[in-house]
Amino acid sequence: MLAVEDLAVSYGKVTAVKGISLRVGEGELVGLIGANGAGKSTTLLTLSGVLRPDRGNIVFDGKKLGRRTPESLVRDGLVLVPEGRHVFGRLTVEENLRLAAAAVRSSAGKAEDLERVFELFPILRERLRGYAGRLSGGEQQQLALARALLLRPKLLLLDEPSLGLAPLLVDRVFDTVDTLRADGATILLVEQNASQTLAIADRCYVMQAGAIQAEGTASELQSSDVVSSAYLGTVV
Amino acid sequence: MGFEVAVNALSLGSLYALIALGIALVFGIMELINFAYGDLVMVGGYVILLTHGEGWLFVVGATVVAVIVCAVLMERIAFRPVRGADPATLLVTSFAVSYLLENLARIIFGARPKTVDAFSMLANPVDVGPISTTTLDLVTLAVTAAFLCGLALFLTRSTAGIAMRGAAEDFRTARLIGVRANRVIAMAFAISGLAAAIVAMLLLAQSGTISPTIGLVPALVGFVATVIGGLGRLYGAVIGGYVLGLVTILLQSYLPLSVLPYRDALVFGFVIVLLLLRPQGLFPSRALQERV
Repeated sequence: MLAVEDLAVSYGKVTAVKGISLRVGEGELVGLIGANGAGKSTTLLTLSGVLRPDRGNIVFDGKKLGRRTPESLVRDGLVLVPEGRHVFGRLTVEENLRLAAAAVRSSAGKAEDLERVFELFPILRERLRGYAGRLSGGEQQQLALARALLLRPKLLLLDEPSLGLAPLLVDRVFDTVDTLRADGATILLVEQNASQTLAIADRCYVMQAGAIQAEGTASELQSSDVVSSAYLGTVV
Repeated sequence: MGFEVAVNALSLGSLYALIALGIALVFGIMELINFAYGDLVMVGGYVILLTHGEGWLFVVGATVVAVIVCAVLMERIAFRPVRGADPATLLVTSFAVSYLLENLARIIFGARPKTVDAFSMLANPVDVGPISTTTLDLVTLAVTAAFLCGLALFLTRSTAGIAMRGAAEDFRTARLIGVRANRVIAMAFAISGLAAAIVAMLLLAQSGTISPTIGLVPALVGFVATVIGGLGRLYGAVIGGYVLGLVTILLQSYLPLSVLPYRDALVFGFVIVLLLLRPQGLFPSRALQERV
């Protein structure tokens, strides 16, 4: 589904991502974990067309991505839920959802999409007419995920969905991601929360200082010295 | 006397509100304070000059179409290449566009003001109950009310309008859920152009003259009204426009004759005091505060 080769990104003179390679297969849930500032969010923003890479190849769904805009990538099924949720607070929940649904061209199945979203996040149906800015942090995260699902993602990029949420809600977010994966979604999950990501992901990449330090399944990574010294030691 | 003052204040306030909306719509989406907005009004004025022999419906249609096309071209040619640049660059670009258009008008039409009596039928006095006013004042009120209602419906009911509100709040996120950046910005410029065309017609109906610098005062007034209202909020811009209109007419009506020439100094003095008390404007935008 996604193959990234030698991707490098910089902000001015500061190189945030230093030539990383990673792959996400169809139906896979892949974690990208690492400490704050490792370059995880930069990677996702580049994949979704917000930032321009210095070099590197991105192949998505069999096509090589050149200079594409975020909105055209979204329409091809590459959907990012950015860090910090970013729902439109001055729009109602309904309007937030309607905007996302509007980006899908074929009208067939839109009602079913909405039903499925309400099944996953029943609270949104109750809050439909309220302003999204009035939702709690956890509810806003659900709205952000709901919006992304209405875009019919082939690949879902999730940036720190558990950030800033209470522990109980963090569990719910990981449960939801797990449910989506069980439904056949392809997901690249960026997280600082390493232990819970390792618990649900098929594979994980460990990122540190703009480079990928290790790759493997949960059990492989937990037994690896490189990883624990780089980042995981205190968490797992 | 009191009724007439109220109608005058509402009428001038309506004009200012339209001008301010044209500036606020574009600012909300791309953080561009478009000083060339006044020159869109100027373009509209010259379209009226060129077409005013025809029926008034034709004049209105031609002006609206021409100014909207001009606004969209302005975005495509001048502002799209610098999109995302810092606000200072955008501002300087808009000054450049403004000077270019103003001097083009000077070359084509000459620097001297020209008389146009396209809408002179609106100058007739009419009595509405106890209030004596002009058709133009009533038309100004009606047209502004229609524009505001239409805009409100568009922004709350249509997907394109909701996309504009979303883009104004968080442009990047809007693109990440598939809102087309080019389309939504072109839309903002087009609506801004529609407002400019209406302003041009109302201004010319009132003054009956057109010159290359006719856009300067509207651009300034619109900018000030937007700042009073709190940059980034559309209803703030509308209320800012009405406040400015009200203050201007109150001073106009009740100042002693000897002080009257200093009306504008007093109006802008009021603006300074207002901004000292509320530096963020009457209705500060949360997004803007976060950026500061």
